[in-house]
Amino acid sequence: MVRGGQLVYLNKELRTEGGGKPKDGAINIVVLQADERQFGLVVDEINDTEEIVVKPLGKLFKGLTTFAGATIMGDGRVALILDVMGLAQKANVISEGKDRLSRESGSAGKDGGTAKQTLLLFRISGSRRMAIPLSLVARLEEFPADMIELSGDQQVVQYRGQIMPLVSLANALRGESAATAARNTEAEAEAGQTMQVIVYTAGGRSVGLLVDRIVDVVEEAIAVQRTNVARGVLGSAVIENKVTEMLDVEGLIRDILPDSIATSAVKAA
Amino acid sequence: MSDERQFCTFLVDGLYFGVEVRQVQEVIRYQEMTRVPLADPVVRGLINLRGQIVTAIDLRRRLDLGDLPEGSVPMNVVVRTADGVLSLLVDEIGDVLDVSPENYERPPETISGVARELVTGIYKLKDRLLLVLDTEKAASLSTKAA
Repeated sequence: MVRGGQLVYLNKELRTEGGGKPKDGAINIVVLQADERQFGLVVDEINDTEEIVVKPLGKLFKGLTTFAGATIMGDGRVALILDVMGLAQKANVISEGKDRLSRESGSAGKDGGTAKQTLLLFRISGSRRMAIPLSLVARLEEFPADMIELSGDQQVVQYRGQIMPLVSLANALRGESAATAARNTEAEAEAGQTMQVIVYTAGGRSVGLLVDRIVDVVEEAIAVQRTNVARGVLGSAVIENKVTEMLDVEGLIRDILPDSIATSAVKAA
Repeated sequence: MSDERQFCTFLVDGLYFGVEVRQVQEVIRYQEMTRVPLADPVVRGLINLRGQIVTAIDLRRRLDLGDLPEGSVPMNVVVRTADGVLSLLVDEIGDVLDVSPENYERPPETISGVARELVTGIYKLKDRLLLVLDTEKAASLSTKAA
């Protein structure tokens, strides 16, 4: 699954004692991406995901590019935050200097436009099949429909200490109002349904995209045809023998939540 | 009286050190640390000091003295430096002492090695000598012999 098959052993890179000897014969691999390059990081154990604030390490750690900083975990312990780019350079997964350039020119023309992309496939409105690049997805979540609240007409959910706006993709792509989406969710809450949410994060803020069902993650070279270009849709491509619309997540959010992340990201840049 | 200075004192491998009290934020017992792989060995780790991440510097290693014997744990002298708050790991905490300038002397030529860099002066006390530690230099690794 890891392209190029490169595995990086974290205990070796950090020159730490022990580790690397799994009890049950299985090893844990975290698949990471530095620029366009995927690699597998072998670790002793995987704990959990947690949202954190990274504090920089002091002057005493100057030149230590393996870590991005540190943070204090819920149990009070200090955790070191790996710098994926620095780690990848140290392990020679990517070479220094050229890496940032390749990001700019990367996905576009490489290999005559047949560069593979990792895509998240999902369905909305029952039969509409859509995809977005997995790199734009922060997380996938499930919420019971009755956790969804309203702020004005806007559907929101309390999520990791934030009030996260929710966008029903089916409604938004049909150009329906947020109020319509809210009414639909109300019915779903009464039916005790679970909502599938794709969390998209930019500029430190998150937006949840409500979809019917997450289908799959595929890695494919796709050719997007700009047929039937509509609001929030970049075009269509054939993925796994089925016509799949490419969601324009940035455009859509800029369109319907102008005060949200899209604009704040622009200001930050 | 007004010329008297107050020092927070501590022991490192039998040597009696002092840091001026106004540089000391607090003295705390041993704290669990998160080791930082690949960092300079003088840096022993990171401490959670009431929500603040503080770097702990091993004074024994900084002074090229041997490590503490197995089973002993160091104490933290938390000091304020130009680069922020740092913890100096020491063997044992002493008293806070008032010392007067007439007992002060420049460090003798006979001190050699790293100590020469880090000790800015000496106070002659009744039964022993108090070495004044330069916390800024102790906290910077650039003066350390490679």
